[in-house]
Amino acid sequence: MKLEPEHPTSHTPLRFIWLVVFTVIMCQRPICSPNLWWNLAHGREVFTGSFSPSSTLLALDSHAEADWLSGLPFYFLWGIGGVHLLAAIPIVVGLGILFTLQGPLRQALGPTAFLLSLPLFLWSLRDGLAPAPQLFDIAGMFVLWKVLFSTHSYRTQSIAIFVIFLTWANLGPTPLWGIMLLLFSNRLVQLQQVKQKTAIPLPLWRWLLLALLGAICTPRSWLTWRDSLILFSPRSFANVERISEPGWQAAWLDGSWSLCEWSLLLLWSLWMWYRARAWQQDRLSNQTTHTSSNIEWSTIASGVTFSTIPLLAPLLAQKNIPLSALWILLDLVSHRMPRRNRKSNEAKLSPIDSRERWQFALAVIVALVGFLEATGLGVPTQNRWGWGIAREIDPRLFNGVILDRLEEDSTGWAPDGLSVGIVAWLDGNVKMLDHPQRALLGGRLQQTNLLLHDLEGAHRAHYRRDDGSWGGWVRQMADWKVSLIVIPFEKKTLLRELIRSPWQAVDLDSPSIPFVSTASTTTSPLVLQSLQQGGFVEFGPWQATSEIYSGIGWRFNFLEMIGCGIDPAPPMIQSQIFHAMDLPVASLRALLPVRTHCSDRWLLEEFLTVQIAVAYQEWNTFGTASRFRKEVIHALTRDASILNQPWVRFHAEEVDQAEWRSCVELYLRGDLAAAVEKLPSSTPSQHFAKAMIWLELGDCGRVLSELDKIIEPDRQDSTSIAANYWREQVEQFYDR
Amino acid sequence: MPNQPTTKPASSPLLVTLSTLILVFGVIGLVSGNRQQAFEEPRPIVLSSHTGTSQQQCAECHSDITDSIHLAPHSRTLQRADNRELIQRFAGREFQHPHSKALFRYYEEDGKLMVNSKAYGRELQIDWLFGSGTHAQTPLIIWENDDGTTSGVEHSVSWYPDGQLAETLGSDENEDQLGLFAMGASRSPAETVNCFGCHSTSIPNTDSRIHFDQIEGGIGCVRCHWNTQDHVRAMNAGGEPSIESFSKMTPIEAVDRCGECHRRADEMDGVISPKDESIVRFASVGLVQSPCFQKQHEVTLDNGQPARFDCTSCHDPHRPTSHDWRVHVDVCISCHDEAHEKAVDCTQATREENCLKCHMPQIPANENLKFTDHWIRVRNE
Repeated sequence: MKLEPEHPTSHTPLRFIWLVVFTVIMCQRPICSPNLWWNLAHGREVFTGSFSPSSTLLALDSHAEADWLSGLPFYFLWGIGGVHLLAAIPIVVGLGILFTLQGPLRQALGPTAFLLSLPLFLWSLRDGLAPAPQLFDIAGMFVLWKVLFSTHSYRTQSIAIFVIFLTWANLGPTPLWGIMLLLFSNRLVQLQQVKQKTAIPLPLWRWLLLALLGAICTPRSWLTWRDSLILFSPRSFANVERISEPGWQAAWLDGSWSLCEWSLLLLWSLWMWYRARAWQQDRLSNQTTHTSSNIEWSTIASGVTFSTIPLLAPLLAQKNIPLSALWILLDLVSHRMPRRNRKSNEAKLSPIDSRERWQFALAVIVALVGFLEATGLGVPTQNRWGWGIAREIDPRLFNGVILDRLEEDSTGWAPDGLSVGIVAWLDGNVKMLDHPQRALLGGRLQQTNLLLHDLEGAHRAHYRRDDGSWGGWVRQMADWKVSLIVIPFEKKTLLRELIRSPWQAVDLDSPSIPFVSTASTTTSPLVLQSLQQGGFVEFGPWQATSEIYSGIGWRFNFLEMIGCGIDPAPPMIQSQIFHAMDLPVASLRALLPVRTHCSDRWLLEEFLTVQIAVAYQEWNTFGTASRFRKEVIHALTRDASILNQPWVRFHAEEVDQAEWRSCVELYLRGDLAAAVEKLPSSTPSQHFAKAMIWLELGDCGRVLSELDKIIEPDRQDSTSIAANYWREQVEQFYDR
Repeated sequence: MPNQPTTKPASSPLLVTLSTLILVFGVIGLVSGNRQQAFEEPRPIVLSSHTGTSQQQCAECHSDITDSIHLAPHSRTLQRADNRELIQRFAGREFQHPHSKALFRYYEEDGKLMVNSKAYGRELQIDWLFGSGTHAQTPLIIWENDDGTTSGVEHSVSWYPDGQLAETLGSDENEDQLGLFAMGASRSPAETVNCFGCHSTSIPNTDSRIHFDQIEGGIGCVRCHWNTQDHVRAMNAGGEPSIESFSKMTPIEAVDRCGECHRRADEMDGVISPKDESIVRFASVGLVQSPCFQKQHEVTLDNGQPARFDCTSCHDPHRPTSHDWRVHVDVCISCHDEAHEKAVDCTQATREENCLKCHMPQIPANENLKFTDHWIRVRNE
């Protein structure tokens, strides 16, 4: 039962080149797996002799773990080739799978559908190719499938299955996928056997037993299966709504679907369509050959179950999407193709049948969308075609000084894997309390949830909850002797409340923002330094340049390198960090280097969000939002829910927009100096607008000059109140 | 594997059974996974979504308390600024803040209390007055954010029982301020919820959005007695009284219960020192620092019971605080009685004199407001 291409053609070399190029375009992105550093730290601990790396790295974790070896291979690769070797993993694994399966897949589907399914498959699989433990699930499933289809003896296959599960359980988090594949191995193998008019019932019981036994040969023993089940469906075991662990949320259940959700759904639909056709062909064939076509209910039940697994699994957890895609692909390549297609394949792979032209056109469109998605030119993406490590997980942005400044054996707390991983990887004096995945497996996730609730709700004081338990984060942190809190920038509500507490941030660049208590004398100089930096980027003569977003040897954006504009993702992330830290003008400044070159939809959305934040700040602080800010927001959106907000709505006297129009147009284009030139200087609100534009450009001298024109001793309106405020702030960072 | 020709794929009963099991468990898992409300988190009592016991239910058996609780300041900790008496405390008046120099004008418009100032760009409506008025009443100005949450400003001007408008405690930091900083202290959405939390019995809310029309202002029974539903259920079933009683708690538990709103010692930042004058504002913090509190277990009362000293020793939360010093001094001398081998007597005064004058003096917090220092101690100054 070899799955080699049955009909090699003269197109093979070209096809292979095309396949390599296509896979590189589709799969190659800077690594953005948030748990990368956690896995590497994990691997380092094992390398240094720990059999239970999580309990070495975490203060609250005392249990052994099944996939204790998951970080070790990546740590070795890191040691050999650093970032670049890790960055090569997705493309190597992607190509490996495709080169193995492309022949059978092409045989099964025909050339057009093959082209159609390929991008869908790669989009769905892509997240699973990152250097993370899930890669071992993909590898495990793939190798298991190969073994099931091999022609080796029963004894060899049995040994192989035992070894696969033993290895898989020690490396990958969800060997449960392997059990599911084994359960359906009869079905898959029979599909091949039918081609050969044979059917052999496989020794399933024995293989299942071997698999179950193999997987318990881990430090976690029989609990390996319990952990695997929990990680297969985290939402079924704990409330994960507040936890920003990637892939734990259900697919398709929230309003906006990601590309991989769309892809898997389309891939599944394509799969169903082909299977329906195959079934129909079978029935026709059976009628022709007068073979009994009685369908047993058990066959239907297993067929339905088998088909729904790739849909059910992502509904349980989004991180099951890559494995679901592989499941579909493995079935497609195992499947006997519809007879008509096979004939047409046998006839020739090209020229294309006229009946399939529409399919070919569709495949071209999908491939084009894939290319545009890679470039970010047509389809908005936050992770464009590139190499290395994405800015949002770059640990060099984290203020590592704090980890050495804190006392030996200090304790830190963070609600997400990225923050925990960065602190663990940087290996300072701080030991983190917990990691979301370990908390989930150890039954401590509710504790994390409640602490997050207290932090977001500013429940500092000890208080009793309606179930009789006690809340209040100050005491909880004191009990744990926490001296470092690290919060991901996405948790805006939490950050908003935390910066109003005696804990203050000591970093403004890192996507994981460290906070220390101002009561500590050892860290207070760092707090002061950070506050000064915050003031400087918000009020001082600071201007963001594209250089600050370069990867400094760790990240390369291919499009940027060939002159297709700056990648908008790093400035957007920096803008979001500033925004979360209540520095909205700094957010605008952070976006400036890319605004002139890029019209990415997400960039514009971020720009609008920041403009609204500045308008709200003006309305809240001074009484009304400035005319300029309102003009900008009205030019950016027609969304009535935004325009009707009191901080965006025009006043009755703000009707004449003519003299603002060209200024706002130039401003939106990123030509700020020209925007100032275009605006007359006849009213205080125009002077204020100019001051705000100069501030965005970091020209504090001109800011003060414009503000001085507004401020008069006897005048007090919102513009002059705002002018006074800004003058006072800017003067702290600029000597006239 | 030996090949045995056949014309029909074999089907395994095991396969079918297990497949069906997977499907069933998959669906169950999916349903449970989608029902994240099954993991509903416990919430602060005041924000609880569980139906609480109404004051009327309590009144059925405890009318002796509920009939007079309206006299206690605790029942008036939060009031809507919509009745004439309250509006008149501000309306038609002006006040220039001594520190920010901002001039505030208060007026009534369509039955609403409004404030404007040249220090801020728009007029603001005052919806809520915080405080019973026993010491002061401070307006909280609120507005809805674009995400439906509510932010607030604790106004820098308060009404005091002598009828004067004066600066709010803590607003002396607003030196020469303009804008929102002149109007008062800004409160984030979570802080605003917590403001209401300490001044209300219940704050119905959905997804952090407060339903202001359903707020139950003032401190009712269920705010301090937390197992009222169990108690009502037990009494209806003819069971034993099961209400959570302060006397059954340890003294520190009882003080900390009050301290949930009046501040607890374990949530103070830094070292608690008598030199920190702000502590006088937080009676429950000062009290637990007192030797009287810390050494209470060393004293045995005349009835043979150990001494018991917490907030309720002097304050009945169901009634107004007595202003007769003798009432409070009786509590002091119930323990301080050297002749009967209890705590030491005062060397500077007789048992008939007012202990409070020296050991619990009134400390002015500003020109209009004094606090009794509950850190009971021998003062050397």
